[in-house]
Amino acid sequence: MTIHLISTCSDPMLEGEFVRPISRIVADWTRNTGRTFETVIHHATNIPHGDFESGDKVIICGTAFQDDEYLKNIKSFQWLTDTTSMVLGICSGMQVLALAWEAELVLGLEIGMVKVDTLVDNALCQGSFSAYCLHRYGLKELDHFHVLARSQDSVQVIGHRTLPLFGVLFHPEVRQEGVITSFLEL
Amino acid sequence: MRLGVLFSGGKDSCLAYHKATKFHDVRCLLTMESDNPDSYMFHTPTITWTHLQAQALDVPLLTRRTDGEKESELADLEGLMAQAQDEFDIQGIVTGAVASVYQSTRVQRICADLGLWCFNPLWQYPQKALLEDLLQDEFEIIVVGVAAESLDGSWLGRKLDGEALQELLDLEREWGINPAGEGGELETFVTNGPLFRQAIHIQRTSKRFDRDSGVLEILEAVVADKNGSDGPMGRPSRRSRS
Repeated sequence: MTIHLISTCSDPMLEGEFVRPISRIVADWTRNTGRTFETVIHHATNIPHGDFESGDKVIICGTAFQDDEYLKNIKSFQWLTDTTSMVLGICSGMQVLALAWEAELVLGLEIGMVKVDTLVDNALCQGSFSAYCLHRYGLKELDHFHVLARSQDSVQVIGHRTLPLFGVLFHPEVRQEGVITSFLEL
Repeated sequence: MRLGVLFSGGKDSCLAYHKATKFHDVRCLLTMESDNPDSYMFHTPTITWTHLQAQALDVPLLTRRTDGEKESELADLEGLMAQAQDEFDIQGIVTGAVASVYQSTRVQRICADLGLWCFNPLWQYPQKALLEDLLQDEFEIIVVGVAAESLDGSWLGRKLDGEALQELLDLEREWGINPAGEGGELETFVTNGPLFRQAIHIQRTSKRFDRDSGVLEILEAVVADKNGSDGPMGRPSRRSRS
C-alpha cells in the first residue's frame, strides 16, 4: 500500500512549506506505528491516473493563498469522482475535491488561527479547537458531502456522503497534526 | 519571481535567503530595526548590523525603524514592504518563519493587503534538521542573545558548531528548550555563509547577562575577504558603535 501526496503548488519553493511538513508527519507516523507504507509525491499536473489502488491513501496538499493556478487544472482532478482510494484534501486540496463533486467556490479570506466547531461525530476531529487558516476561498453547494465542522465564516471539514473522501480547509500540519494521523489510521 | 527577504541577520533569515535564491531572483533584503527589545515580531540584538551582511552578500538593503509597539510595528513593516515594491518591483516576500503562527499570520496578512506572494521556506522545519542544514551548508553563526534558564552567559558569542548543536540537543532533552531557539531561547548572527562574497569579522563586543537572559552587543565589525584579508581592494569596510 502507498501513501500518495499530491502537490497543488505552482511554484516549487512552496512545496517546502506545504508538502514537506505533511511528508514529515507521514514519515513520523509510519515510524512511530511500525507501519510499512511507501510514500510517493506527485504534482497535480502529473497524477498517474489509474495507479491509485483501493488500499492506498491520498493526501492532496495545500498551497499559498496567492496561488490559484490549481484552479486552472481542475480537470486533472476528475479522478476524484471515481477513485476507490481514501482521500484527504487540505485547503486547495479540499477545494479541488469539492469542485470535482459539483460544489462552488465562494470568496472567503481567512488568515491565522480560527475557532472550529465540530458539528458531526467523525474520525478526523472532535469538539472545538483552534486551527491555522490560509485561504481566499471557501465552499458552498456541498450536496455530496456532510459538513463535519465549521468556523464562523467557513465550512472547515467535510466528508463525502458515501465514499471515504474528506476535506479540511484549515492547515492541519500546523497545530492540528492529529487530523492527518487520524486519516492515516482509517 | 522578484522577491524581497525579511532579514534580521539571524540564522533563519539567512537560510531562508539561501533557499530563495535557488528558485527566484532576490532583489533586496528588508530589515526592521525595532526599538522594543521585547517585540514578538522582530529580532533585535544585532539588527543594526544587517547592513554589513547585505554588503557581504552584495544585495541591496532597505531598513526602517519602528518603536516596536504591537500594531504600529505592523504598519511600519507594511510601509517597508510597500517601499520594496516601489523601488525593486518585488512580487513576493520571503520570511524565515519556522513555527511562529503569530509572526507568520501578520506577514501573510500584509502580503494579502499589498498583493504580494508570501514564501516561508523554513515553515514547520524540524529544529534539529534546521541546525544540521545550517552546519552542513557551512554557515558561520554566533549566539548574540539567550533567554532560558539553562543557557548561561558563556553562550554569548559562542559559535554554533557541531559541539554546540549536541549541547543544545542535550538541553532539549533535559530542559525542553527549542534547540534552534524557536521559543526565543537563542538569538543568532550570521558572519559567513555559502552566498557571502565576503565574511564579517567581529572585532569588539560587549556582553550583558542578568539572571537567565543576556545579549552580546556588537561594537565594532568589518567586512573582509573570506581568506582573512580586509575588505574590498584591501581596505577594511569598518563600522563601529559606541
